[in-house]
Amino acid sequence: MRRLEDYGRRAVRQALRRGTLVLHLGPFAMQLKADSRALLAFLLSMYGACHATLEAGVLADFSLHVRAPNMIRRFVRRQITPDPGFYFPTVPLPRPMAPLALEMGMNLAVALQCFRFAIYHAGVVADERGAIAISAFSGGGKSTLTAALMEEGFRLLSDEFAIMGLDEPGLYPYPRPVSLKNASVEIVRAFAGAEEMSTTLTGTPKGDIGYRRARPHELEMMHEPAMPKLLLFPQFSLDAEPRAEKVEPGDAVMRFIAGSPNYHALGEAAFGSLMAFADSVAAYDLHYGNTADSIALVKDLWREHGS
Amino acid sequence: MAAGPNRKTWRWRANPRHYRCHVLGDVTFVYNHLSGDTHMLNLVSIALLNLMAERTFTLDELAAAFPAHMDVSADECPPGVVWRLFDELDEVGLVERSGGA
Repeated sequence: MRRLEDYGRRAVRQALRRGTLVLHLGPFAMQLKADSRALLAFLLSMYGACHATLEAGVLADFSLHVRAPNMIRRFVRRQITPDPGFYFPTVPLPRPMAPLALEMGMNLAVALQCFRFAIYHAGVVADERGAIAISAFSGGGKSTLTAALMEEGFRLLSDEFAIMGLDEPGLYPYPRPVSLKNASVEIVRAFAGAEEMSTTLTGTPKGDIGYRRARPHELEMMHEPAMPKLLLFPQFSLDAEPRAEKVEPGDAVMRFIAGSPNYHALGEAAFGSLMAFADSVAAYDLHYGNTADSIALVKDLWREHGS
Repeated sequence: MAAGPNRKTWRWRANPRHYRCHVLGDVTFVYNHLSGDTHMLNLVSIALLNLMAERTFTLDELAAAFPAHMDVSADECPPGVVWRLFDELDEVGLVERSGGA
C-alpha cells in the first residue's frame, strides 16, 4: 500500500475533498473528508508516512468529515467542526484550527465507535521487552512522558488510547501524532527537534497545541501488538520531589476502567482481557516536577519490571 | 433487586453460572453476566458470595453460618454485619431468591 506522501499534493487534496481519502493506521481505516488548506498541510506533514488509499469504494472503519458547522460559517467568520457521523457537542473552531478538529474527530470516532477492541485512555510505548501504558487525567503529563520515552528507545504505540484485544491483553499500535499542550510543546520540541513537530496552534480552547510526528519505524510496526508490563499514573506538579508509589492492582484496574469509553459495552470479553492485563502489569503512581525526573523514574521501574 | 417484606423467610443463593471471578491481590473482581457490571469485592464479601454458592440460606441461617465459615466467633461477626453484606450483594444482583420458605 502506498504512503500518503507518495501521492501528489493535488491528488491528496482532491481525494480529501471527495471524501475518498482513507488512512490505514494500525487496526483502523479512517475515511476523511475536508476542504481545508490547513488540514491538507497538516495531513501531509504529520501523516505523510502513513499508508493511505485515495480511490473510492475502500472499506473504512470510521468516517470523519471536518466541515463548517453551518452554511453561514462556511463564508462569514469561517469556522470548522469535526463530524464523525453522529451527534456530539463540540465547540466550532476558527478555520485555521482544522488540524485540531481533525485530531479531535479521529479521537471521537475511535473512542465512541470502536467495539472490536477495548479502549482505555492512555499513552502506550513499547520496546522489545513489552509495553508501558501511561494513564493520566488531563494535565497529568501523559503525552509529555510518552513523547519523552520515544527519545529513550521506546516505540510509540499510541498517545491517546490503550487499544486492548478482547480476551487477551495485548496492546495494539495506533501511532498517530502525540498531542502536546502549552509548555509541553516547547519541551518536546527541544528534545525531539523542530522538524518532528507541527506548527503550533495558538489560542485554542485547550491553549497552545502542537503535535509530535510518529516515526517511520513506528508506522512499519503498526500491526505488531506488545504485551503490557507496566501501568503508570503520572502526576506532574512543578518542583515535586520525584517518587514512585506502588498502586494496588484492584485500584489500578478501577482507575483504568474509569478511562474507558467502551468497557461496559463490551461485556465479559473486555473483563477477561482487563484481568489478564492486570495480572501482567505492575502499577505505579509517578510524582515528578520535570521531564528528566520522570524518565529516570520510568527507567528504574523498567529495569525492575521490563523482563 | 430490592427484596420484599418476606425476604427473611425466603431462601437465597448465589449462582456461579451468573458471574465470573478473578482474584487480584486482596480483592476479587466479579463480572456479573446478567447485568454486565464489574464489581470489586473485598475478602469478606467474596467469602459470603462463595458460601452462598454452596447451598441456599434464609437470612437467619446465613447469619448463623457465616462466622464459622470465616473462622471467627459470632460476637465478632454479628447478624447485622452479615445482613449488611448480604444487602450489598443483593443490591448489585449477585445473589438471588431460590424459592419459598
